[in-house]
Amino acid sequence: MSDYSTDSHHLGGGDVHTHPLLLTFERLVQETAHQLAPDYPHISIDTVRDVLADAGIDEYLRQAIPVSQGRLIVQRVQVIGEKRRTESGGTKRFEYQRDLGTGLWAWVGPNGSGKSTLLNCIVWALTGADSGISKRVRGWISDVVVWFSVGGEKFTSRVNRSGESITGGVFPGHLSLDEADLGFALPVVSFKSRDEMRDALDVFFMRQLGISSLRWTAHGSQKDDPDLHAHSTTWRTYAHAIQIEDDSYDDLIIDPQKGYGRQDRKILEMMLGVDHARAVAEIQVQADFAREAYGRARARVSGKQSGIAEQVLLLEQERADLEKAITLMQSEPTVIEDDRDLTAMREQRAAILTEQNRLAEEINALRAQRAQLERDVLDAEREKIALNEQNEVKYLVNSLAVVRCPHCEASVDTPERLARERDAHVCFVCDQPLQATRILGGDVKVVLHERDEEISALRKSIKRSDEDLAALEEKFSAHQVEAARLGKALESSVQQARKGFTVSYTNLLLRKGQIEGQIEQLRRSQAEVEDEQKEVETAQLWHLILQTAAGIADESVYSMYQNVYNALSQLVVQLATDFGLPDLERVIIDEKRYVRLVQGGITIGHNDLARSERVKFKVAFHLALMLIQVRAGLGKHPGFLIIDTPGTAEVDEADLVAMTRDLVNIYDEFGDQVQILLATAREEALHYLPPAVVQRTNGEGTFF
Amino acid sequence: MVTTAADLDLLPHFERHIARVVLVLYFCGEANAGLFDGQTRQMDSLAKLARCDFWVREPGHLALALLDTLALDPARLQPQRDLIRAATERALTDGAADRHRVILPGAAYKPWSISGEMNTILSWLASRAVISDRPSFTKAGSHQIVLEERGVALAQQILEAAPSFDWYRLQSETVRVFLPLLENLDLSTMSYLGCSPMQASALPLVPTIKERYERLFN
Repeated sequence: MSDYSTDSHHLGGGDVHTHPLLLTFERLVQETAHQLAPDYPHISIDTVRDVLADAGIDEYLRQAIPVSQGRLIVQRVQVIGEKRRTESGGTKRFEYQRDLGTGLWAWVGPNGSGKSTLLNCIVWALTGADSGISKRVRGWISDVVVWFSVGGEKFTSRVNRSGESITGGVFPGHLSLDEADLGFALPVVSFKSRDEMRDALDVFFMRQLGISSLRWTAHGSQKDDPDLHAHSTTWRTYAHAIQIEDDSYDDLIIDPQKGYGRQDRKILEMMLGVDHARAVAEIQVQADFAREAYGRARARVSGKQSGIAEQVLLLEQERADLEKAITLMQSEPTVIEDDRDLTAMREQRAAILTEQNRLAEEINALRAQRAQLERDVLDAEREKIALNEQNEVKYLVNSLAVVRCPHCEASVDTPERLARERDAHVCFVCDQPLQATRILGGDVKVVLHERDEEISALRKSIKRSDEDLAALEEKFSAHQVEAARLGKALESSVQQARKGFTVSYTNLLLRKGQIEGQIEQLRRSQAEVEDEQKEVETAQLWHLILQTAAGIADESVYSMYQNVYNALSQLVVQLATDFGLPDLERVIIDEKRYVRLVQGGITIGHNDLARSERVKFKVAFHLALMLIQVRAGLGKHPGFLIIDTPGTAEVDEADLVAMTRDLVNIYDEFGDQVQILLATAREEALHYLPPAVVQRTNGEGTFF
Repeated sequence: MVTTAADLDLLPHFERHIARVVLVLYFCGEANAGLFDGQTRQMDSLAKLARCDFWVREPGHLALALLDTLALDPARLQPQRDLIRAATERALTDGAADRHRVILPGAAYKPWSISGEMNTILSWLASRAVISDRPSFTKAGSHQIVLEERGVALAQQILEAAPSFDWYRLQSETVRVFLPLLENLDLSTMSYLGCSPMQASALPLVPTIKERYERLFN
């Protein structure tokens, strides 16, 4: 038989409460400030103190740890109902009852005999959780009565199910079903629904067992729920952890996949009775929320400030441009007060433009006329030249005798032909006319004189045209200047609103006003962003301080309880080895409370074990937790453990025998202090189990 | 029998055109002194004669073409720079470029082409044995225009008897000097004008010549 005796001194339980590094609020403040100082010198110790105090950490550290009233012992289980038989369609009323007490109690029967249902009925009556009972069987059960005691104080949990309706309560003392129903005692807690039952039993057992609710955070599983939510560990969670059944072997303490998050380490700490577990958990929760707030504030502010600054800059630039334009308009000397002035000015300008157009037409006509005159002069001069030339060469050229017809180029120099042509004046060959030397009409000198006079007249006309053109161009130029002046004046006037300001001016002022409004609004937004930035900084401060404090508190608690963790580890190794886990050298509970195994020189986790090894290790671990509480008075383990149907797949015959042997040893040594309820389908377990603690199936092969 | 230019009833002042063409042939044709022909001038083709006559009767075009050629390649024309300057100044004197312009009615759109008027002139000159047309056997389809001895004599008589025709002498001599350059110019576009030939036909050219002259020589 293994020796599991360990006194409190050996476990270091006495050391814990006088630990030199006992976690106090002031120590937490100082260590947090000290740790932050190198990177965040602006965070003073007073700031740290204020933040932690505002977060209520001092309160949590100061709060009295609830005291456990003692261990939980189930003394009787009574299950009443009506079994429906599918083969006959009939029903059969059943009433199962078994008296229990401290020590080891076993149900041995084949699968489907109802042993797990009985254990789950006890769990239902004590926690309100009925998920372990199959839906089919759940419908059979009408009443469950469980007598139990906590630290010697007796209670009766009575649950009635009628269809989907659940009623009942916890009564002081041990009452029969009738006594409870007839109101022999007032219930300590009562309930009329499933939820009420759970809440009522949570409150009752946490108070009785001195269990604190430990908070933790997790994000919602819903896609549209981005918020961080706080959750609490309750008695129901602890109860789940002390019920070892075939679907929980994979997890050492509790299945995180079932929505329990980080509770496994908290349950471990609570079962080990870590004093500041609640305060540490609360600091961590506060730190988580601070981190969340910081992240959100940062995301909200991020990018806002630079965008606003850029917008303000652009608007200020636009405003400056507008102010320039406004100043320019204000400096205009003419301020049109009345539309009539504008109309008169427009009419005046229109008249000038009309006159200008007329002048332009005249000028163009005159220029065309002048060009024509010049062309006429040129023509006249060319004519003069031609006349001169013609006059100079006409006789010379015409004196040339014809030797060939100019048409047919036939020779005409024979006397006979010359004679005929002289008479007929036609070509002898082609019959074309051959005129005599012509006589020029008029005297060339006279013609030239006429041309000279013509040219002189034309030149005079050109001169007049030039004079007219100059006058017109001068007039045109004056009109042009005047039209331009009026145009500018009108343009300027149009830009001024009535009664001194034009629409454009008003628009400019309006736009300026809009811009100033926008700038004002942006500046307000900027101020808001700056406020938000302050919030971000505050959130960051809180996050830093609380996260640091959480780390310090966690490490502090770990160092305070390291001896306890070491003792627990040794005990687990001893038990697991006895249960048949090979080559287990050491169990390590690290600073994160992760449980590691050193097996064959290799460090592994619980999940790295073979499935058959996991159940052995888990049972060993929970027995060790329970024994530490029993032997050293440490922790708040209720001293109550349910081990349900380890099957052949998980534990072989030899190992199951070894396990039951150790359970019997525990029963022998601590049977009056703990209670272990064991259900198994394997007969070999009977090898070590005393007959008195074993219940077997009835003649029908069932327990009820 | 004497047949006058009025026989053809085409051109006013026909005789001056006859006289101008004779001078063009006299100054721009190749001089020959043969045993049988005596002193003659010959022009290689009708087209060449038409182009030479064009430059002579369009002094504005000639001035602008020479100025443009000089502006494009001043180094190559440096030896002829003074000649061009003198020719341009002559064209500018009293607006001679525009005043001495001789516009043939049938050559309004293609002033350089072989117009009907030119054929009439040549036919008239041939009937007076002033020129002869000799088909070329070395240049297929072309005609060699020869100013016969009688034509050479006529040209000399014109120069003596008609002082107004000294203008054509000067023009023809200039064309003769710059003929290799002028033959390279594309008269279908007349790019030297700086405007379209149609515009140039309606506008005085003196202002443009003056402006280019100022740019090149002052």
